[in-house]
Amino acid sequence: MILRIFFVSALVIWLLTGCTKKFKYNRTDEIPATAWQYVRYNQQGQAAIPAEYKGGLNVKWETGSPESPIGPPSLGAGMLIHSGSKGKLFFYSLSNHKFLGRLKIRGASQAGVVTVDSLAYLAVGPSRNHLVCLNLFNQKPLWRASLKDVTGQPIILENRLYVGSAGGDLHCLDRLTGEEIWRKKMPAKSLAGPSLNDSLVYFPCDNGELRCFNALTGDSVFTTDLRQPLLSKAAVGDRIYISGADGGFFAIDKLNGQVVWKSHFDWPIWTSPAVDDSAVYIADNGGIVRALNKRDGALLWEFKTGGVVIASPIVVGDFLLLASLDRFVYCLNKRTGIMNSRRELKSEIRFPLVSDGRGIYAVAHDGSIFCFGD
Amino acid sequence: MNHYFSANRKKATVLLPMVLAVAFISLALVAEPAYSQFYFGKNKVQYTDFDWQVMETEHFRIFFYPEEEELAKIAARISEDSYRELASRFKLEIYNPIPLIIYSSPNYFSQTNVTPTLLPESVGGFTEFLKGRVVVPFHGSYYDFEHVLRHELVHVFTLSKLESVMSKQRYFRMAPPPLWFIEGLAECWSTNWDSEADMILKDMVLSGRLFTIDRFYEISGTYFMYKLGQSVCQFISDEYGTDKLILIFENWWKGDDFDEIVEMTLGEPLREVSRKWEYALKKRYFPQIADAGLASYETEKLTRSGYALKGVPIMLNDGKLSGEWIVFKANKLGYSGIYMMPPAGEATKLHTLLKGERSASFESLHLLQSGIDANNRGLVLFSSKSEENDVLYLYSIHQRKIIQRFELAGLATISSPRFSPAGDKAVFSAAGKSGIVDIYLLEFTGGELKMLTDDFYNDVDPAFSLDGDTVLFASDRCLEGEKGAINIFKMALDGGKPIPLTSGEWRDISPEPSPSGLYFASDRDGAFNIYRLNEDRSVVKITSLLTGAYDPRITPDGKSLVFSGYQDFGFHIYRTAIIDTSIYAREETPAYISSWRPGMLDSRKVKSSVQYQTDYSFDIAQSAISYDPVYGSIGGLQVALSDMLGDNAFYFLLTNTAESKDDFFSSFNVAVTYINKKKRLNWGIGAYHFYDEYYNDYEGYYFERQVGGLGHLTYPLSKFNRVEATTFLRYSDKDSWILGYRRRAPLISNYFSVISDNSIWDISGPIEGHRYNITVGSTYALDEGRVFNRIGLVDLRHYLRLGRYSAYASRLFAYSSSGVEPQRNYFGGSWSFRGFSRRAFYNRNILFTSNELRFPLIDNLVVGFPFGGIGFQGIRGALFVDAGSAWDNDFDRFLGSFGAGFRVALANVIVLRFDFSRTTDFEKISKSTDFDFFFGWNF
Repeated sequence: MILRIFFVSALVIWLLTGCTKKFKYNRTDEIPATAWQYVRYNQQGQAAIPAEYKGGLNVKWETGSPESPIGPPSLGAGMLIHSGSKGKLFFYSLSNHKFLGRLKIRGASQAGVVTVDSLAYLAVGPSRNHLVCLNLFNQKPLWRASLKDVTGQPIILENRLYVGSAGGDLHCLDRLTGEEIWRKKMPAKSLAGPSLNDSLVYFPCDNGELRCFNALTGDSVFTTDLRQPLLSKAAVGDRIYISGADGGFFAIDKLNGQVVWKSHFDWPIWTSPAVDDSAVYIADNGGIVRALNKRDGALLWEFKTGGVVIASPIVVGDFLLLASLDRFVYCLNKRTGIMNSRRELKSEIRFPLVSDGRGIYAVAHDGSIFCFGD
Repeated sequence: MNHYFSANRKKATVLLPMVLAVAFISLALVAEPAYSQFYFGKNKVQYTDFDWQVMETEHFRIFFYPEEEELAKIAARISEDSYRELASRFKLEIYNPIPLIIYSSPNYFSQTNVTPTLLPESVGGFTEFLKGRVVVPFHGSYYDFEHVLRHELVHVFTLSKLESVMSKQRYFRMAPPPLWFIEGLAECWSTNWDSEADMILKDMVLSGRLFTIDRFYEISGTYFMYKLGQSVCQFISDEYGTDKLILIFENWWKGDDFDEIVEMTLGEPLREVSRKWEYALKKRYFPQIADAGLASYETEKLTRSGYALKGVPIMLNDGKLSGEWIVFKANKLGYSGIYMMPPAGEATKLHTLLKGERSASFESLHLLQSGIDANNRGLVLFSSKSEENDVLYLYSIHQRKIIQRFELAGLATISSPRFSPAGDKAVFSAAGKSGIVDIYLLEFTGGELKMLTDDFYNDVDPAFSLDGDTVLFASDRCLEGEKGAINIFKMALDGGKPIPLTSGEWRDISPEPSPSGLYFASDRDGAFNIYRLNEDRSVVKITSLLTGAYDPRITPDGKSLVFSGYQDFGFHIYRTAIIDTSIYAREETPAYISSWRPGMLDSRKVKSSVQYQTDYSFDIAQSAISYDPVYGSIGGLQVALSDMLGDNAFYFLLTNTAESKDDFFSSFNVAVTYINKKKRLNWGIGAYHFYDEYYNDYEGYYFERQVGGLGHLTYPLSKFNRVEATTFLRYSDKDSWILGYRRRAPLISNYFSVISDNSIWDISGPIEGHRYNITVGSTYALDEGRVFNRIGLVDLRHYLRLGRYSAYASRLFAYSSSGVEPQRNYFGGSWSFRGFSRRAFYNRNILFTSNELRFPLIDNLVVGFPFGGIGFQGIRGALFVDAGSAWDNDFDRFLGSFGAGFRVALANVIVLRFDFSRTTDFEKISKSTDFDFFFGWNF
């Protein structure tokens, strides 16, 4: 009997404390520079990183997470961070590929995590419904702001944080205290969240309006009605590039909101574009990825995958990378659209790939985590 | 005797193995499981032997038989095209091949074993949830076929999407979206808003009887629900954004109920969506009444009750029926039939010519799908499903009987027959096993059958020209036919190409030639109305009704028109004088174009096409089915396996009744049953071992071990009648520790039953028709070579319809068993002898009769609570008188009971029965009123 009690107690203790590792970040650790701080690389949402990548999709390392991803993975503070379906964040070292631990956030973080220095910002959805700033050193929340159903990743400009919430409000918060600086009521909510460029915040709304505000004052700069739901994040380069759920794709003057050119495709587009110096890249629900001339929207090339694409494409060096629900990861030459390599996975990838320039990271639906590279 | 028992002692009768085994078999064999009460039920008859093949494409496994190979390739193309579009809409890929089972005719489709349920004729296809199978029949129209396929595939994607969202969130919500949303979305994403859908909504809006979303449950499962659901989904897409419908699924894990998820997604509560939708419909439809009218105001309504349509005016010249009549089809309350009324309408006189849908000869009159014809000689021509295929009937009004029956070899379906002017021939549309609908000509004398069209187009609604030399018909062989258009053509009887008479992107149907021109129904103006094509090719609009006019037929004097009109939720027969209005349009002489062909899947995309091999997969795996204080634990672990077509099934049962560790290995109850339903003769075999302690009121407690096997045969004579035979061969070891005896015997039991059921059901039980079961059986002790027991059972039930929801129901039940160990039965309680306790009697002879008046009590009852209201629909009342007796050796006396009760149907799944009764020995009446509450349908 004593032995039985002992073993049961040991099992309970192990289950409660030992079977998973709680994330800890030593104060002595050097916080490395972040190469892909946002889900779409930078706060402009360009999703294009210069790199010496040669287009390989070899698995450099692979590990598994106990939870399916519920939001896009992020790179920050030298770590790959992914939010799991049971309310936890999982941390993996980019330098030695080791699992660093997990943190309970008791809710779904659909928008992904942004890390700045030692602070991580993430929205926790139903039923918690708040935006939280976590101190990675002590894993304690620095502040919490009550925000409902945030699906778009926050962006940060100096000490300000911009995020959209259910009902369509665009909030500007002090990123160190969580205090609200200004708030704008929108006609509809934004699934994708804001983008930022040169002190202007671009906020695509679900009712088809793209709104632009002065990041400091919150004053409205322009509103452009694109007449179809805007579900993806705007990519801001020389212009604003944004796709519509009815198959429209728009290039918009980033200062006055005038539509410079637009295209229409057969399938809805729920993914965000990637933009680099030479072209803008989009993928649609029909599984077709296209490169368009930034100047006039002319089709440069197109490539058809075997399934729906819901994970936005990214550019790494000279290559365009994307995952399709056909369970393949594709690496295309970004100039020609010719497939350089592809890799089949056991489970599909539903969230965008991320890259720090040295590797391409993906979290599959079954919780498998991959680092691809040459 | 009145015995209620505590549940801590298990009890059983000697019938236990039979009950268990038959319960097993019943699971698989008896149709209409939800409605078959005990041993009744209609039959799903496997008339046709299908040689199933399997075609594998990128995303589908298509099951077809060789005669429909072309159709399978068309289905493959439609399915793959639809898959890509739906994958895009749902943002989802489905990784396992989707099983798609194609039938070339609704008559074959009705035989499918994928679902045990009898399929009403209105079912256009279904998606089954256990194995994700999609089952679709072909009705002749490729456009409609594509619509149904896409509709079912939307269901497949809906289920997969919900599963995907749940699995992503590791969250499981038991309640799916409401049915109106599921079906409305499937309609919204599978077809365009058409004139029929518009007719339904327009009728509701203009009559002020539009169902708001919170009342959709009142029309759950009906065609109205489909169309209202489609309208709401379209409204959400148009008003709130095309992304919103799919976002409702994406947000499925975020809310506690559908209303909350809708509010989260649309930013407004569902009641506000409903209010805006209603307002939008009013804005759309109200202005239309300025230019058009409603049938009951603009024309003369001739029929009143139920549904009535396909009216044919005739003039009878001899006999007591001389004069003008209108012959028509109708479903007045339950069964469809053929009726006849004078021109003034059915209120003045109504003759019932033929009662359909009660016998194998007239299994279905295809009320909506097929027209009828009648002529001045008093003959009526119509088609009906009769067993496997449709049959053409010639009925004499004067003789009041069928005078000729044409079983046409190779034709599965027959629709809309018409007499030739001389009355010696008929034209009709029909399809063989390939499913393709063509026009046929039949000589009544000699029965010669000639195929007039022979191509893949859908040729329907034929009619002879006035001179009888050409046939006019509607067909999708027009330019826009692929998109659903139907135009009118004519073709010489002696051959030649069909020549188009009308053309356009609309539907022109039901041609009716007359000296003044060609009348037809068309939705060219939005709603179906009657038009006339004149000799000079000008078109005159005869009716201008908002909610639809169909099936035009000219009265004998040529001055008025009889037609089927839709209004107030149903079809009725109307008459209108023919008043020429201004020329509506002029028909361009169309070029003869029939260049379109239904696309087939590129053969390079077909991975394989092979003979179907039986492959089993799980249907059910569950624990603890039920516990009964008499029959013990009928449950434990139950597993059911079946093949993709549902023709073969295995059922496994495993329980353990040990009460101590020592008994564990000897107390397993195991049963295995195999059922084969591939052919008309359904059969099953099984083996079982049962051991338990049982109880009955005659012998007290005893142990019994039974090891044996069973064989079961069911042969459906028709949809309504069947014979059954069951044999049990078992070794029985019975140990009565109270009476102190032990009996071991090898026993063989044989049972034979004749069963009939043509009943129609209201929400609380049968309301019209009859049901009966006559069973005889005997058990022999093989070692002694003598009869062990015999049983005889007669259960007759008859339901006389008195009104829409009222009926007089009567039942006569007789049971007798004899022999050394007779099978006694419990008797009494809510399902048998009311006023007496359940199992009040336990005897070997029972004679019993029950009479009940069933009537509607409350249509809609909403009980309000602080947290919301609970609604009950269709509360029914009953007045009953029961009389009977149960005895062993000497008949004692009759007892009786009488009382009243009410029944509450819950979600069409279960009925709560409340009975208040008093008993009598026919000398005095008990002073106390017995209250009985139980679950179950009326007898």
